[in-house]
Amino acid sequence: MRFVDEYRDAEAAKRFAEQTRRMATRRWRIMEVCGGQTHTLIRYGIDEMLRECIDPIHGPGCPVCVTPLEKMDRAMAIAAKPGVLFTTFGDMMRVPGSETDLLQLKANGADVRMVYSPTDALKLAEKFPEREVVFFAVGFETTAPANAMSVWLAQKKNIRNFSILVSHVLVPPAISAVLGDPDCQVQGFIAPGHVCTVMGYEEYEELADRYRVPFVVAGFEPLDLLEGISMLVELLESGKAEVRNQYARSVKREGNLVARQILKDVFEVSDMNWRGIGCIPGSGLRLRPEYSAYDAEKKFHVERIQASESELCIAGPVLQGKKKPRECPAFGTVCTPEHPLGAPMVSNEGACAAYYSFRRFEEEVPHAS
Amino acid sequence: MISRDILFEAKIVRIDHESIPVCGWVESNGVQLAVDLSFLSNLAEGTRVLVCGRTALSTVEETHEICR
Repeated sequence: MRFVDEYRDAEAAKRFAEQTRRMATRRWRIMEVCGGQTHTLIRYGIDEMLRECIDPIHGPGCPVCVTPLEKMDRAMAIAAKPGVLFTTFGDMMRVPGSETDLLQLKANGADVRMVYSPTDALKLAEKFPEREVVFFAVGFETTAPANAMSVWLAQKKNIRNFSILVSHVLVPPAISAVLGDPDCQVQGFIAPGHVCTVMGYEEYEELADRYRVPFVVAGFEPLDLLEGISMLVELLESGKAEVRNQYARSVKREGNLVARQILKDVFEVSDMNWRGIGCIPGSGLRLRPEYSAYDAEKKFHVERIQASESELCIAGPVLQGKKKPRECPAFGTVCTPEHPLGAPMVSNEGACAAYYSFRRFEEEVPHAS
Repeated sequence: MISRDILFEAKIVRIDHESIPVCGWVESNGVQLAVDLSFLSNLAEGTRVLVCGRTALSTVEETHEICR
């Protein structure tokens, strides 16, 4: 057993698909929230397997894709400053800002380094006390606890040459914004399994109750999604607006209480601008005032940097599930992974990157609803 | 390039109870990695965990019915 192979068994996949087809009396519009789930759906052809039963609408669950352009420009401004050692996860290196990206800055001599953890960045700050080390803290609730831990540790150890550039977003307010849109056609949700590993799924019970739509918390392997979709179709067919947990091997209703506590200790909820979507109230995190010394935007005075998006890129409608990537006139021509116009084409969790990798040579087949 | 969302499952092979925060080493597919275990409790060697970057975010149940 190799930890994931068991969740990619083809025979089990066929059984789940057949089970779902038997249950479905119509084609349901469902949104898988997380970009990692989008990639699994497209890569393994699950949307094709179940095309009679579901019309998947890809959600905004790609934290790289929704990082606002002005945050990228602020990152570039900080990284370009002399004496700064700028650190980030690898997936942010090629996300385009208004003029350039971090990888290009690195090529031009800026000290930009890829790390696997914010605590790796903190170790660099201890190792190089004469440098200002910054970590680009981007992500949903999944990566926030480790970032909170790095700031908490920095304060405990009195490390002053460390800060984080925060761009954390929260899933439930984004789902609320999707459901509150009068054009919303989503009838049920596949909730993000790794976010719920940290936060639990109590908030989704409130959403289900308020908007009368069902949620199933699902994992990321093909069998996870197939089982999750089967559970969701069962709820939809029976008219139940409830929450189910398919990813029970990792997710508890209350989530990880230790991780949630450190989030509360270090961060507070704030309004957040989502790239391509706009401001969603209460959908972000910022450092609490007692940790403001570790806020890179304040330390380097870049809060006033603003930006405006490319007119050609339709990342916004794609992230909101209103358009598919292949409906973009720039898809695969002007916009490719090598020369992206927007983040969804760069990120491993971006819908545009998923379609480019696995579907760009296929013709769109119209399907009667 | 690390993908923040590709959390992976691994098995704890060693725990350093003296470190702050509590750290350990996990193994997945023959590769060992040092991770932060401070978000988890009641740990033991051999426990399966879900890892994000270098942080273990949850323990993982041993078996799952869908795979049988």
